[in-house]
Amino acid sequence: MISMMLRFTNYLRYEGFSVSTSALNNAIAALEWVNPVRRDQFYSAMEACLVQNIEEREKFARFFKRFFEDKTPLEFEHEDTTFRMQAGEFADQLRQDDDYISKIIADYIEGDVLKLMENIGDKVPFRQVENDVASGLGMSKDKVRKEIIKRINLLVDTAEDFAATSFHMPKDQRETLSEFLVDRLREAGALMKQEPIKSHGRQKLLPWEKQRTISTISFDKLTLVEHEKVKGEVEKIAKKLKDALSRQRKRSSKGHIDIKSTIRASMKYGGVPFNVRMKSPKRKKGKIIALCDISMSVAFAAQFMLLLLYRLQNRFSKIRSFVFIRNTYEISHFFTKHPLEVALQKAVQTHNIGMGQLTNYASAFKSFLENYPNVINKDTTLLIMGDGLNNHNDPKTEYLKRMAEKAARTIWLNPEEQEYWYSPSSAILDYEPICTQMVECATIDQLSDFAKNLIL
Amino acid sequence: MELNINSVEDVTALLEGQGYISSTDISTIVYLAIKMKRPILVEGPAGVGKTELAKSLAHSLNLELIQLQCYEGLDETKAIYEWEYAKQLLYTQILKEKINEVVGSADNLDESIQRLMNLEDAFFSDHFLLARPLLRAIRCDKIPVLLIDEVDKSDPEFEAYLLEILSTNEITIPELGTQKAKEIPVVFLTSNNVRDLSDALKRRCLNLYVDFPSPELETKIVESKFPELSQKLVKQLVNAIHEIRKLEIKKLPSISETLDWASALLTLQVDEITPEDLKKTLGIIAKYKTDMDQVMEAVDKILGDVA
Ligand SMILES: Nc1ncnc2c1ncn2[C@@H]1O[C@H](COP(=O)(O)OP(=O)(O)O)[C@@H](O)[C@H]1O
Ligand SMILES: [Mg+2]
Repeated sequence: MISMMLRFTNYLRYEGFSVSTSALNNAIAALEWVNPVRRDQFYSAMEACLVQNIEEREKFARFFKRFFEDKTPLEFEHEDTTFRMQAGEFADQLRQDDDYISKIIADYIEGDVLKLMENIGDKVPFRQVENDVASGLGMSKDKVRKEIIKRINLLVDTAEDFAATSFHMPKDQRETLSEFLVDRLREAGALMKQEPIKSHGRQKLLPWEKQRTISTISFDKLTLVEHEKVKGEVEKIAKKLKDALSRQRKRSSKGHIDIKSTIRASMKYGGVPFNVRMKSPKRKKGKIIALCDISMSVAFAAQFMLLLLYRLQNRFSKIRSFVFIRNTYEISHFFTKHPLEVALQKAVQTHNIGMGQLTNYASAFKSFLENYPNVINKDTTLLIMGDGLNNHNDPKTEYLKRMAEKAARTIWLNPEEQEYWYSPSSAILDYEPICTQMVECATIDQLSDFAKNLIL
Repeated sequence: MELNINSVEDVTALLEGQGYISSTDISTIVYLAIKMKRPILVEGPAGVGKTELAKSLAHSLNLELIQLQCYEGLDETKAIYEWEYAKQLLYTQILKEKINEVVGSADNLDESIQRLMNLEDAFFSDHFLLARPLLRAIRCDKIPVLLIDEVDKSDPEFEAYLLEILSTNEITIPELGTQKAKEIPVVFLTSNNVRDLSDALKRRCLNLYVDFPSPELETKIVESKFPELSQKLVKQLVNAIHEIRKLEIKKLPSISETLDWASALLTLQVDEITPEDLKKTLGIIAKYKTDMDQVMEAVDKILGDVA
């Protein structure tokens, strides 16, 4: 039963549903008291232990049902048997490949989630790929990952051809089939190259997840209405983080005795110091320099990051913000002159920095160094927000290197899903080693995690 | 001490004995909380019976109910303990007067100080300690039910204290040392979600979400409180409430409103709710003028075929 619990939580995590260790422990402890055969009680108990936010209840209900009750993909419910058989046909073709990975994927297409999950982050697919590739020996994990992506891409092409030539099905059903197969393949790929458990953030919206929860949608896929909601969420995150900070300060405030205040308080009691007052220790604050790509592909994500940064500005000794596409301009003054909302708009809109052009990171970094040579110092956390799509320009790493050397740390926030970081027109491969850290920041959840790490 | 509860069904029966109609969710989680000795965090809209649940459980098991009502600005001195300064001050005065008696016969300074020190211990002793709900719960000899009501109204700083106490089941008073719980209390925290609680606190608890009840459950609740009402009327009433909850109004009627309405209809001796009855009693179910207008607009739907 415990191993089933582990599988279930792994599955939840794979769905992007975060399960903390203590929640898992609770759930395991609860097993001692509820009998899984009493489905309703078992469900109540699992929900009580594993669901931490009301908003996630519905999702949990679906995942629970899917894991414990359904064995077939949800898509099959809406389609007829032809569709199902055709998907099965494709799976059978894969099985003939006589290759371990293809076999797992084939089972996955037909709904066997467990088998694939057993292989998440496991060495099995990795080793398999290593064996398959002639130069496999001594391959780095990254290379293996890329190899898996390559393999999946190949299978995606095959699947599309397969669906397109399934002429006995009507055209729109062929398209649905193609979509279904491609989605499944991509999910499987994402899963297999994943580190054992990635507790936060997620790769993508899954096809069966009909109800969108804005906290997990990529910024660039938000509708305008959702965009407003996200802003609200960012405000909430800021508030939460501030609460957390004040809690932390309170906790660590058992600093040293504040003599003056103690004596003042003791006056009430005839000089007896009943109330010993403590002075909280000062925390050292760092300086933030934020550089945001605001070309179309990144603009939204950059806005949200800036919004969050400025909401938390008390936490930093100073924030200076810059935007770039081809050249870099400072936008800090908007934030000192206008309320945040207005400043954000002005910063992104009125600046004449060539909206609609393609980003050139090298020239942007160069212009930053030339125009603002003394902005970065050793207390500085340099934040760069960009997808690294350099549009085939020369990345010229020396500029970023020079900036990173001056700063305490350099964190690159990438609003692109990790799986697409290393496309040919991207310079991420060149820039990543220079940064202290490169983090995926495509959704609110990820943004919130990042901010937490930054200030706590 | 072990509570005599051996199954989820036991919990349901106990609560029902107090007129509290439980659901599987509620009974299972209460049962688990008792067995696992974990706090329950009860979340949900106002008036769905969160507070009542804790009270009913305490009564049914004949346990002491210790209630801490949270509000903005609630601090340790109101929730955990406080030294009674006035009493202490009085004690200082007495000490001053008696100081010669105490020190008088001592031969040297060392001894005088020693004698004074012995007296000082009395300063920070139970005599001067005012125990507030959390400390009282920790000190109880018999398992109590500790109800920390509307915890979302307290400040995040306070939550941190709470988390510490709930995780360690002990309270440290610097002057007296650590007080370990004699019996681990059955703890209920309730929240209307005015503010998000910290993840740490949520993780510490079993999470129970109480939503508006299903029609079946609500029917049972009304029937148990107002057995005089006819089956037909209860059905119409519960239906109506559920229709109203589908409207996009500011304040959805809760179980408490359902019960108030039932009580009013009973007083008016209604046996079938007509639009006029609804109009007369509208103030009970809808709190805002705009809500009332919306309810009256949908009157046909709400009252069903009868209208
Ligand atoms: N399940 C239930 N069974 C019986 N009475 C209930 C139930 N739920 C709520 N009530 C009644 O509804 C009223 C409001 O409940 P209360 O506990 O004050 O709500 P909350 O604390 O959630 O705001 C109480 O008078 C209670 O008697
Ligand atoms: Mg209440």
